Amino acid sequence: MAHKIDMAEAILAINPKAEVSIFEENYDTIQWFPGTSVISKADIEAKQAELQTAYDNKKYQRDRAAEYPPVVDQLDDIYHNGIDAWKATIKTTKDKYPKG
Amino acid sequence: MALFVGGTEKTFGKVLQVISDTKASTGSSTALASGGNFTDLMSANITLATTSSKVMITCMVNTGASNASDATCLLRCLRDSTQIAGGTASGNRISTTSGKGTDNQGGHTQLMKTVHWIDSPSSTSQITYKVQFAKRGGGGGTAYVGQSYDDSNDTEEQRTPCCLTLTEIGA
Repeated sequence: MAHKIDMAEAILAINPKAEVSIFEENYDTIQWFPGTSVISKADIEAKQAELQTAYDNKKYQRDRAAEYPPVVDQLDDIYHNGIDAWKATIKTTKDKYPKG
Repeated sequence: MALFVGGTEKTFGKVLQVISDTKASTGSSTALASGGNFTDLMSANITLATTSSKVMITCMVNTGASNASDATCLLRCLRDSTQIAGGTASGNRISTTSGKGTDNQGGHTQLMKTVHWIDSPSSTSQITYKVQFAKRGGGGGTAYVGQSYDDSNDTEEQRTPCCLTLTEIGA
């Protein structure tokens, strides 16, 4: 399931201290609390696109993380079968989800 | 129906009017509850028949959060500009209606928060009750209402409503 980067995430990426509220992902509803400078709609949308690309490009990492055996099982694998056998097990997942 | 307590008949209040506000829209906030930067979520006006009437406030809000620690969604209730249904602030501990919850158990979860509160405003002027939201914590992240953090286009995600109901109870 793909996460869609929203306006709030983009605003925080531009200004980590920003305090805003938004309804229905509509720029016109944004409430900019005192001390938070207004950011243009174009800048927010550009940052959303940038963050979305970065997120999508790391899908292989999330897929791998979800499929690797638990660390305890990996340690047990190393203890009983050695490093090469463990590397072979891990490689199966890496090959299944190659870097994009 | 009559209710007898210790041989004495007790009388019941009567429902005189019911007013509600509902929202099916989604919202998000990066504003800090600790700074008092709450956003209005729902409001409803009521004019009581008598000064002795009570108002039963019932509220439901489904919330999400981008982070399991910070960014969980806090609620606050107001009668006009006066905070109600809150705990007693103490030191740096702020008064809110709901505390930190498990809004984020992974990006797909929401937490239903409900409020039941009896208010005695002693007024027959129009009163506005509000429910507001903000995020907890000083770190990054975003609090959500009506949606989960991930909110991806998938049947495993839900869009949820929120509602505020005011019930006038006469003596």
